[in-house]
This record gives sequence, C-alpha cells and structure tokens, in this order.
Amino acid sequence: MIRLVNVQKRFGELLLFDGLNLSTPGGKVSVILGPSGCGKTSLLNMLAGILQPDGGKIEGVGTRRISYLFQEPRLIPWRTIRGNLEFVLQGNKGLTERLEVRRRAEEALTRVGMRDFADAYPAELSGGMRQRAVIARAFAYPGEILLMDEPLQALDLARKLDLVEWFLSLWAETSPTTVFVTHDIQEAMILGDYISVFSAPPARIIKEIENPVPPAERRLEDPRLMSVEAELYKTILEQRR
Amino acid sequence: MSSTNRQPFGIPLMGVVLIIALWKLGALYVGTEVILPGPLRVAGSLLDVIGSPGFLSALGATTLRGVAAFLFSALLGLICGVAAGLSPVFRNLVKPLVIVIKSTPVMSFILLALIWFPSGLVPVFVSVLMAFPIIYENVVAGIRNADPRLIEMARVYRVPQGRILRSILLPGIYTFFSAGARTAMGIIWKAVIAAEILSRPEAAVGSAMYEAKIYIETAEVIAWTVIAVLLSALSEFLLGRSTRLFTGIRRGGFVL
Repeated sequence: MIRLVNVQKRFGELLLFDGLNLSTPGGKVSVILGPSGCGKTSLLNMLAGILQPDGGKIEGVGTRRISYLFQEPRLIPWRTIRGNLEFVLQGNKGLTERLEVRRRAEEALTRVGMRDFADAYPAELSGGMRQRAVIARAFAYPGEILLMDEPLQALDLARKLDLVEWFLSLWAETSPTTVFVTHDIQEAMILGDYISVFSAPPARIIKEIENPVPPAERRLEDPRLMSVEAELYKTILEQRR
Repeated sequence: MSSTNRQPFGIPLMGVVLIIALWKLGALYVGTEVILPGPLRVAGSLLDVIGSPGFLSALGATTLRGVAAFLFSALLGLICGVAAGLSPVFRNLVKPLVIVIKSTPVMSFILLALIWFPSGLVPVFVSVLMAFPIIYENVVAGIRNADPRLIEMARVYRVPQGRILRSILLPGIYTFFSAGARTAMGIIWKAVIAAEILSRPEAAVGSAMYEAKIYIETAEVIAWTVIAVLLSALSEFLLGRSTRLFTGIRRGGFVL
C-alpha cells in the first residue's frame, strides 16, 4: 500500500496540495481522476522521487522499484526500441546478464506485438506503436509500483482500446501496485479498481469509488459501469458549480 | 536517402567556375603577373609545386600538425566541456581561462609560442588554443541542452549515472560536438599555416608559402593557398562522413 499523509506542495503562488491524504491499495489499480492542473502529474512525480513534497509523508514507496508510463513516450531517439528497453533493464543489479536482458526485452516486445519492430528507431514508428513500446518497457522492468500519467491521451479510440487490452493482459501477470492519473472517465472506469476524484487546487479527494466490476468483465456498456460513470459525471459537475 | 536529400553537384561547380572567371578578369585588368597571376599561370605553378621534391613532406607535416591539433583540442574540449556541463563549479572555474584564450590575439600566442616551443610545435600549440574554446563551448551547450525528461526517465528506472552519461548525454551532445568540430577544423588549418609562416619549421606548407613570398613568386603563393583550401575542404568532407558514420540517429527524427 502507498500512503500520502498530510502532503503539502506549492509551486510559487499555486498551492497544489494542502494536507493531502490518500491511500492506494497494493496490487490494485488506483485511478486519480481530476481536471487539468489539479496536480495529478505532480503527485506521480512525488511518488517517483522526481519531486519532493514541501511537507507531510509518503509511505510505501521507499526503495521499491518503480515503472513509470509518462505522458510522452520518453524513448531515447538514437536507440532502437530494443535498445530502449535494454537501457532500463541493464541498470538493475541482478539483471546484468546480457542474454537475460535481451530475452526480457524481446519477450515484452512480443507481448505487445512489437517483436518485428525491435530494431526500429522511435521516429520510425507511429504514436500508437511508440506507446506500445513504452508499455513493454514498463512491464519488462521489474517494477513493484507502476505509475501512469495519462499515457493514452494522445491516441484515437481504436488505438486506446488496443492498448488497454495489452495493458490489462500484462498487468494481470505481476499486478504491481498502480497509480494511474487521468481526466478521462472511461479510462478510469475500464482500468481502475479504485477511483478517487480530485478537486481543483489545492487538491483534495471529493469522491472515492470502488469499481464494482472485476477487470476481465469491464465493458463500457455494462450497466454497473454506466452507473459508476453517472456518479463520476455528477461529482465533476457538482464540483464545477 | 532519397534523391531529394542529395546536394546538387552542378551548382557548387558553377560557383567554382564563376570564381575562376572573375579571377581571370581581375588578372587581365591588373595585367601584371607579379601582382595577380591568371588561373592558367597558377595551374602551371600548382603542377610545379606538386612535382617538387619537398611537396609531400611539407604537405604531410602540415597535415600531421593539423590532425594532431584537432585531435588534442577535440579531446580536451570534450573532457572539459562534459565536466563543465555537469558541474557549474568547474564551468565557472574554467570560464576566465576560456575568455582569456578567446580574446587574446592569435599573433600574441604565436609570438609566445615561438619563445616557448620548437618551431614544429608552434602551429600545433596555437591551433589547439584557437580550436579548444569552440569545441568546449559546443559541448557545454550540448550537455545543457540535454533533455531533462530523458534523464528523469532514466533516474526513475534507476539507471546508473555512468550509463546515463554514455547513453543520453554523450549522444545528445553529438550534434553540437560535430558542429563545433567542423568549425574548429577550418580554423585549425588557418592557424596552422599562419603559425608555420612565422615559425618556419623545416617541412611545412606555411614555410613554403613564406619562401615563395620572399622571391615574389605570387603564382606559387596562390598555388600553395589552393592546396591549403583543398586540404581544408577534404578534412571537412571526411569529418562530415565520420559524423554520418558514427551517429546512431537514422532518418533524423527526434521523438520524445
């Protein structure tokens, strides 16, 4: 479990978090749903250690290995897709054996249907393929925590659904503790086991919902999900008023 | 590479023809070979120079000096540039030295080097001082322009610092380094030959030019100048080729 206790964060005049408390259960996907600028990315960056909170505590991260799906692919342009995966794998003690690293990279690429593009450079691939490569990178790395910062936002619906499928099949194998931030209600419903709705800054949780539908059964037309969707819309509209 | 990316060869050739035509007109207008010999006279002199017994040793020695100066300044510029790009303390420490080197007239360096070094080393020393700041500043700019998002990604995935340097920072500065190296190479040839003219080592293009000037062999001075220009153009071509050989970026796209 990851816990944020009374977390404070300020950027100049903007008070982003003023005593934020949040718990995300281990081995589940917790979705943070909120408007743009409410501090979703900053929250992930604090969990990843890129940003430090001004006050409060973050528990449950410590020395655990983190995989991070950023908003943009962040692939090294002068390395092949395979080279990009090997770049993060070779950084780990215990994974230095070259053949093992290669095997892990190829296995992850095969899982997302990218085996034939292992020797391509990022610039040679479409946006959807780059995101698949990034998902492969995140799952090839033995992360105990997975952070996802709206990695699907730039994709059209068909590609988004494909990627959700790849993601869910890979996620089911290791079930890392996942924090997924988005402003897309449908993504939240399909991927999230728990959904927390953030207010505008200073961000606080205005609604918490446990997804009533198991991951394998989640379809947007499922009436149980439709009622979750209605509840989320209602919360967001109330917040706007 | 598609044909649209190829440099048209005909247009630069027309430029060369234009220069020769203007030169010929100028020579006809001046009318004195001692002041400005025509292209044919210089071509004859060029053949004489190439056939002369000291040509290869002069060309070889000058080339060696230029290459040595380039390699040394590239290595020094790369090491200091990476260190300065990563450490503001080192950058500030080196800053006054770089300013002094950049602002000192090249003649001062040549005169001091004449006092300090044997004549064959003077051109190398002077050229390194001319080229080092260019490469150094390009490398620093490359490091400071490295994409922080890639470095963040690497740190989240706990990639060791050495690997970040090798795989992100150094390839990232390659464009800056190669641009600096090409500029530096051009300056090195000018500095090497200028220093050779003043230090007059035994085998050197600069020494040969100086001797030709003493005997008012204007055509020979121009012939050696043509050789120096060709040397510079060849080195730039080879440097461009090596850039394409070593760069790992295919089809030139950058996606983050």
